[in-house]
Amino acid sequence: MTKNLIRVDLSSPTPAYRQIADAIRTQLVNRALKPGQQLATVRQLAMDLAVHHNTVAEAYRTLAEEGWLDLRRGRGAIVVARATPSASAKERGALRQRLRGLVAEMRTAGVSLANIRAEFDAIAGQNSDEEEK
Amino acid sequence: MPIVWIAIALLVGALQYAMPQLTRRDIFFSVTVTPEFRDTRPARKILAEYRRGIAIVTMFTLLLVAVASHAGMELAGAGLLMLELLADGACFIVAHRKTLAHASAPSSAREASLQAQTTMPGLAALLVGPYLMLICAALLTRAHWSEIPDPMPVHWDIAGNPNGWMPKTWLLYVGMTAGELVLCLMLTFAIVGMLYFSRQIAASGARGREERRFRWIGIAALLAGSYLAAALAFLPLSPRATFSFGGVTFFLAIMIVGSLELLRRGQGGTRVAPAADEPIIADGTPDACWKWGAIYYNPDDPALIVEKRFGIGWTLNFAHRGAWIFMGLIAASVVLSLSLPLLARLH
Repeated sequence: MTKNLIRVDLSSPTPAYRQIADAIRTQLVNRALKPGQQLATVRQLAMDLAVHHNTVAEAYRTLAEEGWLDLRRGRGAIVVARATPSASAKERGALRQRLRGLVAEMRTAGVSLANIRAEFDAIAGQNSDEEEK
Repeated sequence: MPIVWIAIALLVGALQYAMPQLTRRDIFFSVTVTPEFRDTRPARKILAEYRRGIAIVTMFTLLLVAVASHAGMELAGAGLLMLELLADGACFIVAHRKTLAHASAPSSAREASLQAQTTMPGLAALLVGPYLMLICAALLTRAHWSEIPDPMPVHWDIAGNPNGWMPKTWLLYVGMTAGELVLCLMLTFAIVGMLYFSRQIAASGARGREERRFRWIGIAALLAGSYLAAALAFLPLSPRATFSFGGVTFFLAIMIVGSLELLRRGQGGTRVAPAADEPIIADGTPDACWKWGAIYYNPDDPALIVEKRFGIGWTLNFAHRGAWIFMGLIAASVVLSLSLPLLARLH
């Protein structure tokens, strides 16, 4: 089985760099990517996904700004141990807004509230399991 | 001799006939289509017309080779084979244009592994091997120069017996070795390109696994090719070192077995891993970037080497600077081959 696989959909309205950053962040949060692990280079990942270098570079930069990656020249992208920050009220508000939007999108697609709750519990549970490990 | 040309003409015809069946299911005559398109009436009609064209071209080539041989023009075989390839190319372009009317949007799904690429242990030593062989061949030839007959053998038949000679000069030997060196460089370039400057289309599931195997078999065949090129440098010593022809045969056999295995597996290993339940991952090369369905030019694609869309193997992205280095090596190899008779005359 291929480890640390990411998938993107270039026809999605979400920009490719965001999809890449989101996919990597999910693996970072789930600890599928461990501190000290070296990631594929910008060139390699861009080639494998058939996207421009800048798209992957932007995704890596976003994650480096969030404190997940160390991007030192000549060393590639390395996962760093990241201290969990406490989200400010403003950040929490922005995230809540995004969550509301996502829930509305799921309701529009016909997902019931019970299913949304179950999905949310499953994802949150998965994250807490990983944190305990 | 005509039997060799006839065999090659038949092989070329058979390969061209089989090519459409060897490509990925979502690509038909170098055009992105739905995987089900192959089973439709228009696709079957395009395929039948293409194959009819290939059969006619092959028959015509065989007839011309026989006539040329009868007229004592045996060297015309090479020219006739070139004409056969050009006519086969024309059949492909006609089929490609007909398929364009049925093109569909490529899958927008992409997948890749985040793991950093690791170098295979011992790979560097394997890549250096042919160059060490070339140096050994040059040193041995220098030590036994006086024992090499004049004229010296420059061509050998399938059994390893010399059947072509040229006046023995150092310049001729240097020219031949330079030709072998350029061939080795081209193959090393292709291997390094495959390893570090090409993409694996499917990264997961049965498709990903089979594609990985397919790529490694291709790399092994290329590596055997570079050893074969280096082994050729020992051939002028054949009367002394009979093992040299054995080496050539050994590496040639690996190349042939590897190539046959690639044919059996189909492009990207897709014939042995149909994996109907897995999502189709597009090759990432837009249709518009393929000129005549065969030449890939995409400045936005970081890959230097991409999968061919028709048949088996890989091709260059001509928008990449590296592609022109490779073209330069091909040009050098052609110039060296053509200049050998001239080098033989110079003292």
